[in-house]
Amino acid sequence: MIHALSLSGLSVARGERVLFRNLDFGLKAGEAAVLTGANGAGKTSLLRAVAGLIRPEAGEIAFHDGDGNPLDPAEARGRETHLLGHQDGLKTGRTARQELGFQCDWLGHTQYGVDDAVEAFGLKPLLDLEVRRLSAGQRRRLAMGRLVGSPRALWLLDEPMAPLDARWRDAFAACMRRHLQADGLILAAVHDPLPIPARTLDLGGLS
Amino acid sequence: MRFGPRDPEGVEPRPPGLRGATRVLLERELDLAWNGGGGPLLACGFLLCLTVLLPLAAGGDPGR
Repeated sequence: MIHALSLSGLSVARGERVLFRNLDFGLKAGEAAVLTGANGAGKTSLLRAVAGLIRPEAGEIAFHDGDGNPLDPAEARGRETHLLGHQDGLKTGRTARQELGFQCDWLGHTQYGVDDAVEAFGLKPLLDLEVRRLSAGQRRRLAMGRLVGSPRALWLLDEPMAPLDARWRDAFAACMRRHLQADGLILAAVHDPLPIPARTLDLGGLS
Repeated sequence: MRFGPRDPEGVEPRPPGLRGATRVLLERELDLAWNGGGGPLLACGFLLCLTVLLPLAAGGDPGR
C-alpha cells in the first residue's frame, strides 16, 4: 500500500520545451497537495509523469510503503493509483450504469463498489441515461465514481472541481476529506483553491 | 461507504487480473460494436466480399 510518494530531481519536458527542472517534493499518507501555476507550466504533465504515462527527462518518482520500503512503481501505479484527468474516460454510447460497472470491474472493486459510487455522487437518477445525454458536471460525477467504487491510495486529480456545481463541490470535498482520513494521498492540479487543507507546489509560469 | 486504501471492514478490492481485465474490455467493445449500428456486420461483409471477389479479380493462370 502506498504510504509516501517522493519526487527527487525531477525534470519533465514536452517536445523541446523543458517544463520544470530539479523538482523535489514529497507526499505522505493522509496529506493532500495542490499543483498551481500558469497554463502550460506543467501541472498536467507532472500528474501524468507520476501516473507513468510520460517519462521524465531526469529524476526519480518513488513510492514507499508504511515501513519506508520502496514499492514496485508499476505495481503501485497499476493497483494503487487513480488518475482523473481532463478527459472523463467514458464511452458516450453506453449508459451511466454500464460505464460505472465497467470502470469498477476494470479497476477492481469490493462487492460494494458500484453502490458506494452511486451513493457518494448521487448517480441513481442518471444510471439509465446514455452518457451522451449527461451534462459536463454529471459526466464528471460519473467519472469520479471510480474513485470511490474502486478504493485506491493515491488520487491524481486534474482540475477535478471545474465542471461541478456548488452542491457537488461540497460533496466531493467531503469525499476527499474521508479519503485522507483513511490514509489516502491526493495530488491535484488546480486553478481554484481546493476546499481541503493542502500543501501547495507552485510550478510558476512558462519556463 | 469505504474510502482510502484502508477498508474498515477488511474487504479488499479485487483487481481483475489479466483474464478478467481482457474479458471486461472485450465485453465493453463488443457491446459498443453491436449497438453502434452494424459496425461488425459491415466489417464481416467487407471481408466476405473481398475473399470471394479477389480470386475472380486475379483471373485464371495464363500459363495453362
